[in-house]
Amino acid sequence: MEINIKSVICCLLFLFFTNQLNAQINGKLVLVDRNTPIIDASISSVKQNKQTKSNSSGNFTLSGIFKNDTLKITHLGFRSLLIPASRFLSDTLEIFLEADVNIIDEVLIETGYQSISEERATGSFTFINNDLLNRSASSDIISRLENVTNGLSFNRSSTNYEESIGKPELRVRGISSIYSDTSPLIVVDNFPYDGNIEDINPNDVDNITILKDASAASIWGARAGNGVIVIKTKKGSIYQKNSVQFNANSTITSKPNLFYNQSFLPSEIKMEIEEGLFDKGAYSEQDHTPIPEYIELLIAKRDGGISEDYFHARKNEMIQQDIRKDSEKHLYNLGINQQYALNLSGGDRTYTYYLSGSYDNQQFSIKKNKNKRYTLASFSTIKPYETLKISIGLNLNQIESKNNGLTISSLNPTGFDLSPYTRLLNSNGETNNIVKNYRFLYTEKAKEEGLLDWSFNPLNEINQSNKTSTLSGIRINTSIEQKILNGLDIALRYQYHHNNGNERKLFNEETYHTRDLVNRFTQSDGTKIIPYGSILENSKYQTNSHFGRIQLDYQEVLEGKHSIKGLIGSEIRQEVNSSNPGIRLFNYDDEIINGLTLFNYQQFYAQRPQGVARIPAPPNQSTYKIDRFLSYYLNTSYQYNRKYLLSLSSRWDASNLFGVKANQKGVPLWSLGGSWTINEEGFYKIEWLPYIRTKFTFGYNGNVNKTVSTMPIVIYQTDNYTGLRSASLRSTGNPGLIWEKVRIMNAGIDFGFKNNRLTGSIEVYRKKASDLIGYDNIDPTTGIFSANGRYEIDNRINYANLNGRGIDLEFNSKNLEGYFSWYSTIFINLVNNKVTKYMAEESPSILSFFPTTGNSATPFVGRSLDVIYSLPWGGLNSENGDPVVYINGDKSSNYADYFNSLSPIELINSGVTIPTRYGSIINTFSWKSFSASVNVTWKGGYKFRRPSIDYSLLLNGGSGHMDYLNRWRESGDEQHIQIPSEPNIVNVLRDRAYLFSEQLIEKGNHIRLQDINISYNIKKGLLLPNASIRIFSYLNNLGILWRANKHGIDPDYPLASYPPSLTASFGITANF
Amino acid sequence: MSNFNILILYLLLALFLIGCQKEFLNFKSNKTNVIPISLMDYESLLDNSNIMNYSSSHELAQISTDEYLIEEEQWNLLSSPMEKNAYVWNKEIFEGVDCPDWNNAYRRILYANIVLEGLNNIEKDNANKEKWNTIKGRALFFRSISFFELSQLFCDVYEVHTAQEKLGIPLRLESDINLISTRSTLKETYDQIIKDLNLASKLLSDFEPIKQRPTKQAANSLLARVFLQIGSYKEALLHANIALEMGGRLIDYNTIDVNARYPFPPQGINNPEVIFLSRVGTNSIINSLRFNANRNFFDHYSDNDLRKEAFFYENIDGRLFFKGSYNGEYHCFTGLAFDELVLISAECLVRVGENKKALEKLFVFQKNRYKSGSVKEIESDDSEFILKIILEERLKELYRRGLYWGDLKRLNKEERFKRTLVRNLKDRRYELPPLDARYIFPIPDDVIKLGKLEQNVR
Repeated sequence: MEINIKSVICCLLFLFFTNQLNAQINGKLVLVDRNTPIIDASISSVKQNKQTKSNSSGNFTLSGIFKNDTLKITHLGFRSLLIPASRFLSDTLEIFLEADVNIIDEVLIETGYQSISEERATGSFTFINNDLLNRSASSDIISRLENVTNGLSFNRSSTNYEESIGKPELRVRGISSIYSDTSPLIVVDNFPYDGNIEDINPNDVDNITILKDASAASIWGARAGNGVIVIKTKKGSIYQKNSVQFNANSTITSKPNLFYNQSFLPSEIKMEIEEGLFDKGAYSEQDHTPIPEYIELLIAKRDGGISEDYFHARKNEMIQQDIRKDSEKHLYNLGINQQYALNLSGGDRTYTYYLSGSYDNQQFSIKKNKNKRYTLASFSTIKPYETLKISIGLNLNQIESKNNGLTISSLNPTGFDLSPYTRLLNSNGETNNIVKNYRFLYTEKAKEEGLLDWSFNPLNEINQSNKTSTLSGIRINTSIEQKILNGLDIALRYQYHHNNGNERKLFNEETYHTRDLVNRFTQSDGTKIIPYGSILENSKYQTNSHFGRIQLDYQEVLEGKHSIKGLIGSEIRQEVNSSNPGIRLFNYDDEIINGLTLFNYQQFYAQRPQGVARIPAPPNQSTYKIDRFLSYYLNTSYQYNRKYLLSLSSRWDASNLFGVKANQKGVPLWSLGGSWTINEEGFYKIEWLPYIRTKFTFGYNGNVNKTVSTMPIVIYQTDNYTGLRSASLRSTGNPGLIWEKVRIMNAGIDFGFKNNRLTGSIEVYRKKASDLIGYDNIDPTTGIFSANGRYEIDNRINYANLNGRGIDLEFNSKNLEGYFSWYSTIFINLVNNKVTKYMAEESPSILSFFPTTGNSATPFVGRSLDVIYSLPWGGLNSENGDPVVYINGDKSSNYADYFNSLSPIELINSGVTIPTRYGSIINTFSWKSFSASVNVTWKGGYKFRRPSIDYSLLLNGGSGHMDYLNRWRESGDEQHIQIPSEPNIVNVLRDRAYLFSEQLIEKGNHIRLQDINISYNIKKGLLLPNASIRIFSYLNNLGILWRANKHGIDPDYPLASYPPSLTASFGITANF
Repeated sequence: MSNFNILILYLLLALFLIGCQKEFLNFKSNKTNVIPISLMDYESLLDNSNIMNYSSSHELAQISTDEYLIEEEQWNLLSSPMEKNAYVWNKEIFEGVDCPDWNNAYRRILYANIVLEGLNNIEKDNANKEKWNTIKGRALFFRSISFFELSQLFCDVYEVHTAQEKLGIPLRLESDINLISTRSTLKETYDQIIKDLNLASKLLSDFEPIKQRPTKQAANSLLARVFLQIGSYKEALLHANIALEMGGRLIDYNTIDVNARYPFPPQGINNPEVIFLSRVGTNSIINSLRFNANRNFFDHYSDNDLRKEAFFYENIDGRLFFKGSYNGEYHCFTGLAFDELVLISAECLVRVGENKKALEKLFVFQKNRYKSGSVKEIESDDSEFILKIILEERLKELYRRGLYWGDLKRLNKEERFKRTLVRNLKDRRYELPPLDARYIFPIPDDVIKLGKLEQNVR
């Protein structure tokens, strides 16, 4: 016992003495080669927070360090080291640092103006590291963010065209505008990116930071209202040995499932409908107006042109036929995307370099649609003096695409939808002509009249068509950074970005385009006004942007406890978009690159089949748009004792808004934030939760809308009819217009359990977008009216406020570590919005609450902007299968009166179209050198309108919908059938009473097995000396595990003709 | 260079940036965008033929007359409620859908008002006087013709003793979109039209290189049309004669290829009859898939009448198409032309008792429309008889010119010319008796809701 007490006392005494040790510590940092000193590394004592940096010979000195303290040595690009202070004796300790490209110890958040460590930031960020970016294999960098980014959603609810993978709407934490651009700002290497995002080789990207709240984004001011996506490309780092990285992968996309589309009827049914209409005399026969093939057959039978036997044989053939089968076989194929990328990087004390090249070859799932991408990038920095750093980046890229394929929807004839019995090959296996712009009768007759073959043969067409587009870009990025005083740096940055687009369409003599044009202009005496020969169309456009920035950075640590970091700067930007009118050459010979332009474009010629027309003249409209921005900004943060952090940022943006008084060209925006690292407090004792920090920010961001005007505006054009210069009124001007503003509040907690077993963050935000600009409902007697939802003359006003609120949760857990390890990442995002003010006149039409695709319903105070409305469903009339509607409580089938009597409050608020809850669970397992990662995503809290049978379209040649087969047919059906009967008289409102009804609203909730990534690491030396190799396989769009709707509809693509196809990628990455 | 000097250099650069701020930001963002201030800007607005000439407000009138008919099944399949309802003269027309006639007319009026207000800010001097005047004249003309077209659809027929009580159309004379519209009286409507046209006829030029631009002749022709419509025959005659003397002539149909698909040159170019070009858009109900000329109308044309071939042709399914538009293609011509002036003057001559002169006019007219040698001079002093012939020629000549609806409304006021329109859709029969309230279309639903205008009683 005695001994024990003695030893305890001894220990305490020892500790006391050692703690009192006030020694000076001397060290020297060198590279592992033992020669090269490491300059500018930061050295800090963990307990006392004393900081210093290594000087030009790598030496550093710290005094008054407790013996039991630990020194942390960090330098970007090196493995951090922790060295107990006790190891420093009286001599200078030589410390070797190991350069490391792959491990970056702390997350550095990129704002585009500075890199800050996570703990110096008060705002809300999502950081996507290189590993996460490389989980997927898509060739465009933004789509790699999908389903792995907390707070970022991709919406495709209005995607209704065939390529259902079409551009989604991106929302960072919901929406904060109505008619202004709602897409987040994309920043690449410090500057807003105004090119094609597809131009960037994803292998060049190091990491991505999403700036989500006011504090994070307000540095981007007026363009930050929708969040900012900051992309940082790879760079070499100092003291990095030369390294080579090689990537190769192939992605295979399965053929689209054309049978997914329910808006299609089997041939037999479609023929019955067509025959019914024909019997009633609904098809007016004209010599040229196209009519369905089956009707032609019926006409031939009626007129005795064919035998009864032939008719039945052909009819049976048609019944057996399905154009979707033909199309899958002949218009689509497996998509294959091959990507190859190689990069070299390295660095010394005074310079770094990064060089990369890539080649992508993509065959789309549509035959004859191809893409080739080439990129070259280099980035080097040199330090001629210790205080001066110069960097030069150069990026070149080119995309060549060929778009000669045809999709099933491009086969649609003029005036009606493609008949399901259409065939691409005839019974002899030869390519078949299909109905396009004219009746078969007419195109047959053309031959007799000595005209060119006027038939449209899709499979020949895709072989003849020669349309290419080339996009090329060059981006030069330079900077000069100069140390002026200790802690004060000045930087000058400049970027030049040039993009060139070239669209070239060569229609040779065989193409339908050429034959059609020549025939149309062949006069009754046989004169060909347009010579029969190839036609070349070529147009060019370009963008040029210059960007300059001057910035002062200040950083100082005062007496260990106070630390100030700040920057102030100004930037100037000009972006020019222009296009040349382009050319159109007739009788073009590609061998001698010569064609004809000398025509009388003023002269009217008789046109077949009817009317008069002029020869299509070469385009004459040039465009020239120039956007200029000037901004001043400042950002500063103050940290006390590593516990308290305050940040302030403000920015003033001005732009060359047209038709605006000078004092309205600019807008000031600002934000404030604070954070408190609770675990740094002396009283904090919770051991199992060693890291906890709270933060709060508040501030304003903006939205830019350059299309509005406070003064009347006209645009010039050449009049189609008179050939004179004419002008159109575009705006009568609204002198009261002001900038849109978004107020954002964010509060969050970051935490880390012991050993980082569970880390994560919980953030709550509120957004208030005010003075949103939108279209007023205006009495058309003013001369301003909308046609198909578009206003030709602008009448926008600041008319609405929109509140958004939400929660972003993120958890990272290490469930198992060791031989077999298992990590999980979980995101949960909740987001809602609500219109809080709406100043426009009440919409005159109830239909404005049922917007067409891609538009949102008329805003309504107290409801979400994404609201989806429906009509009460009264069932079907037992006598005729009409939808029953109630006018003042009375049953009725007068739909005109019904719609007239409806007031907005009577509509059913069925929910919203955009998910209000969504998230991902990514589980990563690894065992030995294998690792597998599975992403399961879920979305909920939203609705969609299920498409169904629209009789007005069907009876006017539409493709119909499978619900037609289950329609009401006889009394009694209404007991179990809710699909109205086929009407005799087209009544659009009757259809709407059904199509807008509540029973077609479906829940969007679903869980999806999004993707799986399996990889195997071959250790250095195992296969090749000095090379670590990773091989991987990635499967995407694996399918829906559970969905709330019972109709097999993918709720993310309610309108698409087919859902995204399964893709499988295989690839290899090697590091030397 | 010391660090301090470098700092100074950078600060100077920053100051320089601040210094150029104003000029930098004043640069126009889109070269095709212009704030209108010059005469050229205003002239170009009025030269926008798509808006000013090619969407005249005659759609409802064209749909509602019995000049044509369509089959029941075709009617059943129509999706536009406006077309469906207007065809059978329903009380309710729009069912919440907007009205292109109303919208297009008021858009032209807005253009005209912007021009008229803009001209007030441009000093008139000797150098620009002529141009300034013609542009003002054109703006006034376009505004008047739009007011007039609207009044034919949405107002009752003008009668001196009731015009002050009856409702006219909203007379928007300023471009300010915040001004509230109210309906004027019918008298105010016509007074405004006549006043503006009188002024325009002084300001406009005698000749324009294109027929999309109105001239003095066009203003007088329109005045003749307006005065005829309100029964001021003397004034109508006066202006018709002024216009007739300003140039142009009747085409002798014996000299053209009446069997051609389009017997008249496109866009009124080199057509000596066309004074001012405008046309109406094509609605689904009257496009070539459905349109069938009313045989009752067709039968009015005798075999010697060259218009039978020049205006009509038979489709392969037996329907009768109209081809003879002075627009030179399938869109219907709704502008001003020499033939209309001849007929106005002939009608007015009878109405003011100058039967002989009227017959002279009629004879000249008929010689140009019938096969050579088949026309005999009519000898009669029975003004009712002569008037009937003239009106029948008017019916045949101005087929599908957008004028028949107005003619029906005006002639139904006279007992002797009353007509009941009848349509059949299989066994459903629809009638529109003379002076029926349904001759006046309802103000469009969106206008009623947003503009709070007084509705017509139908």
